[in-house]
Amino acid sequence: MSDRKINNWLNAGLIDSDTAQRIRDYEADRSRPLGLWSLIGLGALAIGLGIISLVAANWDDIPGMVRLAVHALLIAGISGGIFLLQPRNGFLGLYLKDVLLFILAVLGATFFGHLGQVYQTSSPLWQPMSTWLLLFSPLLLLTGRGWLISLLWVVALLGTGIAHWGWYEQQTAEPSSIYIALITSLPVFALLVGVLVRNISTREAFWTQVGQFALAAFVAGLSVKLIADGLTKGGLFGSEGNGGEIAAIHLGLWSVAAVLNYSLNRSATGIAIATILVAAALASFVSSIAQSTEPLGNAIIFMAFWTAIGWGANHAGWRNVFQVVVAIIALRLIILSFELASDLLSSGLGLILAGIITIVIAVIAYRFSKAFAPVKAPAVEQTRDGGSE
Amino acid sequence: MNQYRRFFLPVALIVPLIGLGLIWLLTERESYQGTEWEVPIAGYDPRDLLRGHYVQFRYDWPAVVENDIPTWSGSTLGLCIIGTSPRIEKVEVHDSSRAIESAAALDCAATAKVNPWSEEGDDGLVRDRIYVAQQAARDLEKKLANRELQGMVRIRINNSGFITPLSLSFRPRSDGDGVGEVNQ
Repeated sequence: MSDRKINNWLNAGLIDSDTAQRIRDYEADRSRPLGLWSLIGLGALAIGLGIISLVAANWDDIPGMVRLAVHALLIAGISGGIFLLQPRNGFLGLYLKDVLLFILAVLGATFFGHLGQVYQTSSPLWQPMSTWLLLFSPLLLLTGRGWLISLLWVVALLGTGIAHWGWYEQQTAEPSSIYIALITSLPVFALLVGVLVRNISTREAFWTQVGQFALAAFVAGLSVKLIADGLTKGGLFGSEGNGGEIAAIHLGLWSVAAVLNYSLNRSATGIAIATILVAAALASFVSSIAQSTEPLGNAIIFMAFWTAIGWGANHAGWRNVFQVVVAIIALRLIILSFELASDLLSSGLGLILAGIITIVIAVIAYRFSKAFAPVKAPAVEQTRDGGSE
Repeated sequence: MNQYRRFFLPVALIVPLIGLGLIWLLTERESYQGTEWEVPIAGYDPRDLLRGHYVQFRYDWPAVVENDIPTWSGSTLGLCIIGTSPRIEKVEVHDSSRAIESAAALDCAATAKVNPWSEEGDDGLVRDRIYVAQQAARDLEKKLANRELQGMVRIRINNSGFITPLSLSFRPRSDGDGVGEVNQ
């Protein structure tokens, strides 16, 4: 908090001098030596990089067994550190422990690769990834607190799914629709787990984040699918034959997920998430059935999906999400204007038209976002600083 | 449930430790299983023998036409190796889907299969690569280019039929006996 702002407010008569003093005192109490911490962080980074390059330069000369033993000892040591930090709250207990958890998880993942290098073994990627997930999920999910761990877990889960999907496609000539529908619904399952456990866990913020990351991955994945549907016949899933079948299974699965989600969380947030799930299922189904490479139809399906997200964001009071939605719909409109003007593009007139449309859409989107973006929802989820367990 | 809460963390911390240790142990044990064989090699690309820290080479299986070597992981074909470890007498293409007639008839000492997850993917029976230390690289490159010397790679075929190259050696091309072992 800068003094300049407080002085400005004081001069403008927004606050009186007593309040200004109290704000200053409060901020002085709470201030953390950011400069000091960043220098310490920088130093630690330098030491870490130095150690890594020393080890890397002499990698060949270190016998494999010694390397593996050091790797295992590091893992055991960090586990011990996490155990010792567990009863502590505050900076050490909350932040450092998360960082240690992250390092431990990454060291655990690299141990598989290290074993493969020393013993010259190889296996499909999904095998070590799912083993890692089995071994580390309990730890990460029972003790994680911040976004570092929730993001790591969601990324690992979806990464394992993608790795398995790739392996499966390699193995079979005719991939089963049910398999593809299930593996692409992994973000939905993660979202449901997040919503379900949030209700019983003392670390609500963590599980909320798990749900948020899963939902974000889901929306991103479906958007890619909707775009891919417009580019090639058959879309993301390759074969034209079972695209509709997969989308039909999705329709069923995601609708059930929406109902389940609503029954677990009947707040505005729950309704918004359920809306997004149903809209996704419908948009994906229509897009797969239509199999249209027509720019207009494809853009309408895409924008309909994002409009539903916008409605949900408005309903649940996700101000930033709403703004992102407006920006994405505006972008899609602009791209559409270029798509439709593609034959005109060779002429200067087409370019001028597309340019005008771009400016108009940008201005309208900005005004719309400013006027209609919901006020931020009351901070129910801001329990992160509380750290109560 | 709450009374068990204090056991959560220790258990969750020990599970990955035990799991990783177990996997290490299994990998270690597996690395001694299987049979070892010496296979003559041919240079893979004279301009590209060394790639990074690896030597790339082609397997020069005795008595098999190269085009017959299976190059698809989904196929039921494998290489039947006949001989006594580590000396290969001959190699035949072997169809595991007709195992009863062919295996008995051929009397395979080991069967090598395509390992689709190796660096070489489907080409794992045709070519491979082996790690070499930087210091040995120049010497090795010279030997690989030397027409007088025949490169031999020692491989292990594990119980699943997958190949791991172990070491590289050379012997004079003229006489067939394995003299003058030069390790990498």
